[in-house]
This record gives sequence, structure tokens and C-alpha cells, in this order.
Amino acid sequence: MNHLVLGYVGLVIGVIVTKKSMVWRVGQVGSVLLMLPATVLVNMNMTISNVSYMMTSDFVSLGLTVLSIWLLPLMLLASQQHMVSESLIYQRVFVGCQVFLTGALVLAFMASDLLLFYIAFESTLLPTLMLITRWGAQKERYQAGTYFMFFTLVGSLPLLICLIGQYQMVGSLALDLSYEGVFQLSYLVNFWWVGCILAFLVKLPLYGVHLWLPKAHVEAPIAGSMVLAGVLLKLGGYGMMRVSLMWGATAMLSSEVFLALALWGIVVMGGICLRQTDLKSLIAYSSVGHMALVVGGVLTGVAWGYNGAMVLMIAHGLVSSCLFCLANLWYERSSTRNLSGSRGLIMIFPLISLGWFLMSLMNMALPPAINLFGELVAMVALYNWSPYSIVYMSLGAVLTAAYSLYLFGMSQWGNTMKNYKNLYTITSREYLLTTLHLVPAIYLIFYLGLMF
Amino acid sequence: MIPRASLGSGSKMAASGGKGPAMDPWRIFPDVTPDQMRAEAERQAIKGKLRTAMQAKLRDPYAVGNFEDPALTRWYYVRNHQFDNFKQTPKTSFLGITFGVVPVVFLTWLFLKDRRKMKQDWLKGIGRNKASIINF
Repeated sequence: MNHLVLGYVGLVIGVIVTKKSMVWRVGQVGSVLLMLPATVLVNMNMTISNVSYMMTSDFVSLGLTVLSIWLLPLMLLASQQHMVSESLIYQRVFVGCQVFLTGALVLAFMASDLLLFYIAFESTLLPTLMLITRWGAQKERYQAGTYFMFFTLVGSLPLLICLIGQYQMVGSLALDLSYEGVFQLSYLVNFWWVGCILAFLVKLPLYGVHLWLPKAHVEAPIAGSMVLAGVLLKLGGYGMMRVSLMWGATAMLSSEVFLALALWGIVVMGGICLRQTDLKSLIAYSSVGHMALVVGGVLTGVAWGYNGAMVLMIAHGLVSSCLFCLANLWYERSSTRNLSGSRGLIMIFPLISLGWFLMSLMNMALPPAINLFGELVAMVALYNWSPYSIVYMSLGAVLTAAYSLYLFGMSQWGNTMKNYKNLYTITSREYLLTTLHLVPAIYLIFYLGLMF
Repeated sequence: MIPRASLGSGSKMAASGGKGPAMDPWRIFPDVTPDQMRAEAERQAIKGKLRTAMQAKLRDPYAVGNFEDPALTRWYYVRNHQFDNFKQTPKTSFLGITFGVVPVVFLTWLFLKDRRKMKQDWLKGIGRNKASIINF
């Protein structure tokens, strides 16, 4: 499995040294070829298994590793349009950033040591910051990058301290050791636990610390938005699942505050999405709502919660990434992200409206999409945790359906705006992009092994 | 020969019945002076010119390129920069506390109460819901 990460290192070097006409081809073909080593990772055991020198793969990490590997060629495919006019060195840095980012993500998801996971987790920050602040479209991207960096860094410093403390107490940070019964039950344990999961709660994000997300998602270029929504948020969920090996018991004892924030966050985000005027902002806020349910699923501490959170993360990664791609292909044509300024798209681009339609339906967790199964399983786990949560979850689900339909209706139906005069047809590149998002999402409907 | 009915009245299709503003019953406002009426008519004339210019650009068959509506741009700027112009007032404090702090505190209290009861019941051997199928 080291060869998978080394493959990404090689791809970065390849992108830097190849000649001008081959930079994007090397990037895209190489990223597609790197899916092949991922096939050896298929190992659907729930517990940690198949440990090689420093990497492991089990059910939890498999889905997310494959998701991040799958998204790299899609990111490169989506960014071709706006990178055409950049100079060669910037194109190399751009492609290299994304490849490096994916390599760090694969390392993070396959790490069998918590410190290696932490290092990879932090190393995903820098390429994302570069993507947002250099290739974002508006001047607000500087503030977006600052928010993104500082929120994540402030959250992850306690994680580093707690990991080092854990290393000193236990002697190892390897994930395949079991930690039960190591600590005595004192109230200090709660702070230790909060320190460990704070980084992941900021990354997910939880409702109270979610301010960085709309800014970063909106100001990032399409590749940045795709990787942020598709994979980087899932780092938080994955990290919480990993540290739950040790802290699962504490989570079951004292997670009321975070679950309160998460559940209220679903409702509030539903309401906020209905008031959004920016297309990307709506999709970004919807990510917060979906991830709040992931938080809920993980913090219950039961297996159904983890399963539901896992499936929800994979489903949301594909759906959100596709929605950003669809929003971007309108943005490239009209230079606007305004929701009421982009109406009647079903008459202008009928076939890509199918993509909008299917993705909006999946976003609102319509059966038989896997979003539904993830939500359902996580909701059942939360209901078992406390029956009062059903009020907020159902309200959140209704509002999620409302804003998904609002997004589809505002963008696709209605009179077309007449002030966009140079709309070129949807290229086959964009159809391919949408198809490559839709095919795994639809295929996974039939792959029940994902959950049970 | 001009028909007598058309003197002082234009087309019968107009909403005002063809009468001028002074005779139009829908436009006689008792509290508005003629100066104000004239100023409003001038403003409407300017807006009409702007509307015509916008419609010309919209319906121009030889136009290439997108053009933006400045009013829409201003509207979006206002909507998207509300946070930057936030001012703490009693109303905003009330809204923040009611919709941000109170629900979270209430939910935390609710869950703590419910979980405490659940844990005590568990120790006593009582299941969560007697008729529930999800007692695992």
C-alpha cells in the first residue's frame, strides 16, 4: 500500500517535469491509473485489519480512500476551462497541488498510526489554502483562506497535545491496539476527549464552528470546492471514528453538548439554505447540515451510528461534488452565481438538467439513493440515543427536502434570463464529469454491502 | 368630423378611460400637491427611459456577451454582505440568544435529563421503551 502514496509522489514529480502539452494529460491519465492499486484495498472488515508497515485499510477507510482517489481525475477534468489561460508554471503548480492533496488524503485515510494520520491531516491544509487563495475568483478569497486555515489549526492543536499525551500514557498510537480500560474515570477525561475530537468537529464542521465552510467553499475554484466538499469534510468524520476506538465510551457518556449543537445545526442550516441567494453558498450550507447528521451518528457510539455516518459521508461526497460541478458550469458561462439570476436552465441545457435533477433528489435523501440509507441508519441510532432527537431530525429532513427542491426549482424552472448572450453548449467534458459522479452514486444503491 | 365622445378622452382601452391625470379618478390624491405629482412624473419618465434601454439591450438580436443588471448586483451585494455590516442592537442580541443560545442550551439540558434517566433505568434493569423493537 505504500506504492499507492508513492504513486502520488511520482505523479507530482511527473507533472512538474513533463513538457507543456503533457502536463494535464499526465495528471489526468496518471490519476485514473492510480485507481488500480486501490482495488487491492478492498477489505470490508469493520475492524482494523490488513496492517502493512504503516498503513491499513478496513471498511471505514476504504470508502473514503476510493472516494478521494476517484475525485482527483474529476477535479482535473472540471478545472480545464478556467486554467486554459494560465501560464505553464501556474498550471503545473495547480495540478501538482491537487495531486499532492489527494496523496496526503490517501495517506491520511490509510494511516494505521494516529500521528501519521495527524501529519497527513495537517498537510492537506496547505494545498487547499493555495487552491483557495491563488485561484479563487473574488477578493474575499483571502479572508476565506484565513478562516479556513485558522479554524482548522486552532482546532487541531489540542488534538496534537492530546495525541502526544496519549502516546506518553499508552506508549503507542497505533490503531490496531485496543485502549479500553487505560484511563481511570475522572472528569479530566472529558477534556481529553474534547481535545481529541475538536479538530474533527471543526473540520466536519459542527454547527458552532462552521463559519469557515461557506467562505472556503464559495471562494474556492471548482477543484477546491470539489475536494473540500467531497473529501476534506470527511476527514473530520473519519478522524472521529478512529479516535472513537479509545474515546467511544466517553462519547457515550458525555456527548450531549455536541449532539445538541449538531441537531440544532441541521434545523438552522435548513432554514439558512432557504434564504441563500448564492448558488454555491446554498450547497455549502447544505454540507454543514448533512455533516451534522454524521456527527450525530458517530457520537452515539453504536455500530449503526458509525455505519450510517460512513454511508452518509460517501453519498454526500459524491452529491455535493457534483452539485458544485453543475453550479460551476453555469458560472463559467454566465460569470454569476446568483440564484435568481440563473433561472430556467432546463430550457437552455436540458440534458444537464438531468444531472441537476438527480443530484437534487439525492441531496434531499430520496430513496433509493444511498443518502437516504445513511440518514435513516444514523437517525435510528440517534433515536435510540434519545427519543427527543426525532423532533429536530425530522424538522431537519423536511427543511433539507425544501431547500433541495428550492435549489432545483430556482435554477431550472421559470423564465430564462435574457441577459446571458454567449452561452455555449455543454461540452462532452462536462457531461463526462456529471456522469462520473452519477455512476458511482447510482451503482452504490445496489451495493448493500456498504452498510450491512 | 370629430366624434364628440372623443374630445378630452382618448382611447377607451386605457385604464384611465382616456382622461388626463387631472380628471382621472384613480389619480386624484387629496394629500399630494401638484408639484409633488410633477416630480413623481419626472422620476417615472427617467425610470421609463432606463427600462427602455434595458429592454433594448435584452432584446438586441446582435448582442454578444453577458451584461449585468446593476440593480440586481446591488441587491446581491447587500444580501451577501449583511454579516460585514452587523451591528449589535437589542434586537439582534435577542434574536441571537433566542435562536442560537437557547435552543442549544435547552437541547443539552433535555438530553442530559433523558440520558441520566436512561442510565438509571439501565442499571435497574428497565429497558428503554417496553414495546420497542430497537432495544439492543
